[in-house]
Amino acid sequence: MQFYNHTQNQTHNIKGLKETHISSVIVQAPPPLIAEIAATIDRMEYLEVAVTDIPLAKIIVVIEAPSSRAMSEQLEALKTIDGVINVNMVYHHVESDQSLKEDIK
Amino acid sequence: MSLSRRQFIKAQAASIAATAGGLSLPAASANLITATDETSLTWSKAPCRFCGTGCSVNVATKEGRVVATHGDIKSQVNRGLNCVKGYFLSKIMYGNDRLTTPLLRMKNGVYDKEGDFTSVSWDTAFDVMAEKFKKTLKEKGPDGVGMFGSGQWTVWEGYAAVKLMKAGFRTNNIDPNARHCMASAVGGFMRTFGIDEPMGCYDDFEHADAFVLWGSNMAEMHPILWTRLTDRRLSAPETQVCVLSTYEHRSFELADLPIIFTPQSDLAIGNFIANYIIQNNAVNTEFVNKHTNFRKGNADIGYGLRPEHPLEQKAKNSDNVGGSKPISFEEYAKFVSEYDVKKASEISGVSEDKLIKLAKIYADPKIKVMSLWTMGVNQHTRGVWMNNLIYNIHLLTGKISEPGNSPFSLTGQPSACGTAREVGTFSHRLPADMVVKNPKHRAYAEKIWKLPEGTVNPKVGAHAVLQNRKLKDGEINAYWVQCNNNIQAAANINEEALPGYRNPDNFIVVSDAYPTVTAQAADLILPTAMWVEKEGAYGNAERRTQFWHQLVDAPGEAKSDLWQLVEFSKRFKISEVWPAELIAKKPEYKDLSLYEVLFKNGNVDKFPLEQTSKDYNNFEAKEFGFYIQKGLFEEYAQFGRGHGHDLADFDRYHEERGLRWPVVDGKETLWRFREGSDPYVTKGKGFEFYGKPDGRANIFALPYEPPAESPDEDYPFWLSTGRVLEHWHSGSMTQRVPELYKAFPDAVCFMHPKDAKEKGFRRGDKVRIASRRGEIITRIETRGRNKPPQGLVFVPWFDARQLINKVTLDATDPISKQTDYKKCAIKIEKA
Amino acid sequence: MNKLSRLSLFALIAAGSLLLSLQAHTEEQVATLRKGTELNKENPKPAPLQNPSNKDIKRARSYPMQPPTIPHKTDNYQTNLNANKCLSCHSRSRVEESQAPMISVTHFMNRDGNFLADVSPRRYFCKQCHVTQVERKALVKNDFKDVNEMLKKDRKAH
Repeated sequence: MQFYNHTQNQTHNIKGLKETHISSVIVQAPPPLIAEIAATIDRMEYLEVAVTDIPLAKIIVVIEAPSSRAMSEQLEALKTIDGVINVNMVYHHVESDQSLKEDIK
Repeated sequence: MSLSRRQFIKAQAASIAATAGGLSLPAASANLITATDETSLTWSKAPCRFCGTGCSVNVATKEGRVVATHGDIKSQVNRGLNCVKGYFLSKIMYGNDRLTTPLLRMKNGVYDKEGDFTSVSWDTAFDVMAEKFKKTLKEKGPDGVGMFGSGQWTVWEGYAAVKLMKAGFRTNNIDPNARHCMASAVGGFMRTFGIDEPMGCYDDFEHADAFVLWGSNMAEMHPILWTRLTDRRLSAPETQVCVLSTYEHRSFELADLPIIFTPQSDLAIGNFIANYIIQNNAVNTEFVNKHTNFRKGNADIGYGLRPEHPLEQKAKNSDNVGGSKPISFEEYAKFVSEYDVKKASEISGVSEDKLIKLAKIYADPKIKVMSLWTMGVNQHTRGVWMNNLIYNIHLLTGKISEPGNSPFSLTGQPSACGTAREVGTFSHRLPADMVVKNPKHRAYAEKIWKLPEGTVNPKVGAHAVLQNRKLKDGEINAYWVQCNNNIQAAANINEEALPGYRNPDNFIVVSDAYPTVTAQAADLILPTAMWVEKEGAYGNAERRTQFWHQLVDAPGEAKSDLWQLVEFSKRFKISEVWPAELIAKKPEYKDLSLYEVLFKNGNVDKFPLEQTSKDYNNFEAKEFGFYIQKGLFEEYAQFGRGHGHDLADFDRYHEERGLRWPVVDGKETLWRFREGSDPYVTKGKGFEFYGKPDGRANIFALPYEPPAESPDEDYPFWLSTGRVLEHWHSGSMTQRVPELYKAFPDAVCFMHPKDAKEKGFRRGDKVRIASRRGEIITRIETRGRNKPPQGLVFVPWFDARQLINKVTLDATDPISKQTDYKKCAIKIEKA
Repeated sequence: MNKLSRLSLFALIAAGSLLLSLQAHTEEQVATLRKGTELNKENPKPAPLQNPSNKDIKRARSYPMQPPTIPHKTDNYQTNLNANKCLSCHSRSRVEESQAPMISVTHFMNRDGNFLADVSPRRYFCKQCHVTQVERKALVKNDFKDVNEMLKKDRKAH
C-alpha cells in the first residue's frame, strides 16, 4: 500500500482548481468504547463525527480532505484505532473548492 | 440563513451514511452540519425498476419528488452497487411526455376507431371501456375478452388482474409479456422438477469454481450479478469462465473459454456434454439412482406457427408437444451416444478441443459449476428442451442444490418471477404453480376466493402470440394491455399485432406511463402511475420478494394499474358476467358488483386503513378505504403457504431487503431440494425433488432439431435481436433519460467487417434489413461492443423508431409458446 | 388531409368547443419517440452514426452519487483478463502522471465493506456504470429537478 506524501496532499482538477473530497463512513465499535473512540476521531485531521449511536454500536464520520490520498490514509488510520471493528465508506464526493464555497441558500 | 454547498454536501454525506447504518440523524445533534428541514432528504428503500436481478436502491425524496438514488449498501443482492440504469432511476418518472389524462380516439365528440386521441375523464374512459367489454361478453362470452399484462406488474397488480379476468370475466385469456421472456424457463422447471424457479440463489456466485454462460450476456443484461461473478473470477484465480454465444459480446472480456456456435446448435452441445460425462464414467451414480428418472420426450413437435403453416402440417407430434415416456439409463445413454464430439463439432461449428474443455468442466467432480442463461436459451423454438438439457448435465453429475453447484435460470423483468410466475398470470395458470386444467386446483382457488364451484374456466386461454392472432382474426374483441409495450416486442407485427389492434371489430385499451408505440396502436390510453408512485412488491430471480412504499404521488390523473383494475370491476354486476347456472349456486351474489365479490370479499378488505404506514401515502388504500395491498397479498399467500411456496407476513417485507421463499418459521430458504437447507425435504433423503410425486427429477432424452427458418439464397443472413446495457423494457423509460439515451441513442446493425466489405458497406451506411415479413432502415456498425461472426448480424430492439420486430419471425417453442427472437433469415441492402 | 386542417375541421364539428379541439392529439403525435413516423411506415432517415463526445470536460452530475459520464472516446479500450485501459490512467498509481481523476475510493471497498489496496474486482468493468455520451439533444425533455434546483425553488418561494 502506498502512503501519500504530506507535501503533495492537495490535488487539483483539470482546470487547476483545488479539489475537496467529502465522504461519509460508518465506524463500528463495541458500545462501551463508542464515546472514547468518537472523541479520538474528532481530534483527527479532516474527520468530524456526525452522529454516535451507542446501542447500535456505530459512529457516522464525515471526512473532508484535500485529496483522495489524504482521505484514504485517514480511512486506514480509522481502522487502526483500538476497538474499531469495521470501517465502511458509504459515500464519496469530489468537487472544486471554489464551487463548494458558493451559497445555495 | 446562509448555507454553503460545502455544508449541504456534508449534511447529505452524513445522512446517507446514517440511513445506510440504520441510525437516525437528529436535526440538531451534529455539530458540523446545519441540518435543517429544508436540506434534509427522506431516504427510503425500493427495488430497482429494471431487470430481474432485483437490486435494492435507496431513493431520496424531497417535496414530493425523487431527487436522487443510489445502491443500497444493506442489500445482499447488490451491496451498494448499481449499474448505469440503476444509477439513473431518479429520472425515469420525469420524461416530459408523461401521460396525465385518459386519451380516447374520438370523432365528433364520440368514440371512433379512426378518431384522434382526445383527453377524457376517467369516468368517460371507463364508461366506453365497460360498454365494449359488456358487449363482447354478451356476444362472444368469456373467450371474446383478453388481457396482456406484465412481469413488471407488482405482485398485487398481477393478482388483482388474475382475479378480474379468471374469476370475474371467467376467461383465461390473460398472459404476461413474461411469455416472451421466461415461458421456456418455466416449461423447463415444470418438466424436470415439477416446481418453478431456481433451486439455488445468488450466494452461488461466491462459491462456484466455474461459470458457464449459455447464450447469456450478463455483462450487459445482469451487470450487478456480473460484478459478483467478476469478483469471484478475479479474486480466486483458479476459477474459470466459459461464455457460449452465437456472437461475441462484452461478457467475452472475462472468458477463459470463449465459444461461438451456430444458432440452434446448443442442443447438440448439451447432448454431447451428457454423452461425454457417461463415456468418461463421470456420472454420479448414487445421485442418479436415488433422485432421478429418465424419460424420452416427443420429437418433431413443430414451431408454434399458425396451424395451416406447412411446417406445422409436416410436424409429426404437433398435437402432443410435451409428451414423453419413461426410459432406462441405458436407453438414455444410447440416445445421447450419437452426439459424439465429431458430430457436435460439425453441427455447432465449435472446435472439438473447445467442446471437450467445456465438457471436462462439468465432468470433473471437484469443480463446482454454475450454469447461467436467459434469453439465448429461452427465446428458442426448442427453449424448453434446452432448459431440460442443461438440467440433465447437472443431474447426471449431482451438481445441484448446493453452494456453487447451480443451474441458474436468470430473469429479464423485475417481477417475472414474483408476479408473472408465482402469481400465475399466464393463460394456463393459477397462483403457486397451480393450473386451470386441474379440477383440484380450480376448486382450491374457488375456495380461497369464496366463489361457487365452476367459476374458474377449465379451458386454457390464449397465450401472447395467440392473442395477437385472435385479435387479427376478430376472435378477441375487447382487449386490455397493461405495463408492457407489445407493439415493440411482439414478433411479426406487420402480419399479426398491428392488423389485430387496428381491426375495426376490436377495442384496445393500453395503460402506460408514457405514450409508447403500443399506446399509439390503441383506442383508449390510460395514464398510469409507475414504480415508487405506488406501494409495490417485486420478486427477483433468486426467489426474493421485495416491497416498497409509495414515495411520491403520480402526476395529473395518472393512476396505478391496481387502482384501474379494481375501480373498473365496480362497473360490472355479477348478473352481467356470469351465466344463470353459476349464479344459481350463489344467488346472493346476483346483484353484487365484481368489486364486491372479488375485492370486498372479507379477505381483500380485511385490513383497515389504519394499518398503512404513517410515514408514507397510499393512494389506493385511501381510495378504497382499506389496506388493499395487504389484503390482496395475504389472500394470495394462502395459495402457497404449506405448499413449498411459503411467503412471510406482509408487514415483515417492509422491514427487510427481501426474503427468499419458501419462508418457513420466519426463515428464508437459500438452496431448495437439499436436506439441511430446505425444510421441505424429508429427513434422511439427502435430496428430494418434491415437485414430482416420487421426489425424483427427470432427465430427458431430446434430440437436436433444426430451426424454423435458416438463411438461404434470398435471405442469406442470420438475425439475432436483444438488449443493450443502457436500455431496458423496450426503452420506454430509458430512452427518456438523457444520459442513457446519449450513451446508446439509436439501434444499429452490428456486422462483421468482412461481411460489410463484401456487401460494399462502410461503417455508418444506411441499410434496409428485410425478412419475408417486414423491414427496417438502420445503419451499419462494424465496431463496438458486439462482434458477430460472418453470416450473422445483431440488432437491438429498444429503439421505437426502428421496429425490428417487424422483421422477426413469430415461431415459438411449441411447449412454452415463447417466441424465438434470436434467429431468423434476413437480407441486407443499401437504402 | 393535413394535420392542421383535420384539427380545424374537428374544431368546427365540435360545436365551437375550442378547448376540446386543442386537447385532441393526432395519431402521429402520440408515440413521442417515433417522431411522427406512422407505425406501419419506416423512417427513411435514421440518425447518422455518431461518435461519442471527446471534449474531455467534466459534466455536472445530477446528484452526488451519480457515476460521472465519460467525457472522452473509449474506442478500442481493452478491458479483459489481461488489461484494463481505463485504469491505466485513472488508477491510484497512474493519476499523477496522467492527471486524470482518480477512481473514487469507494471503488476500493469489497463486497463486505472492507478496504483493499487496489480497485475491488467487483468494480473492474468500468463501463457498467460509466458511459460515453454523444453530442445530441435529448430525445424527450426530462423534467428531473436536482436537490439544488429544489432548494433554489424554495428560496424563490420565501
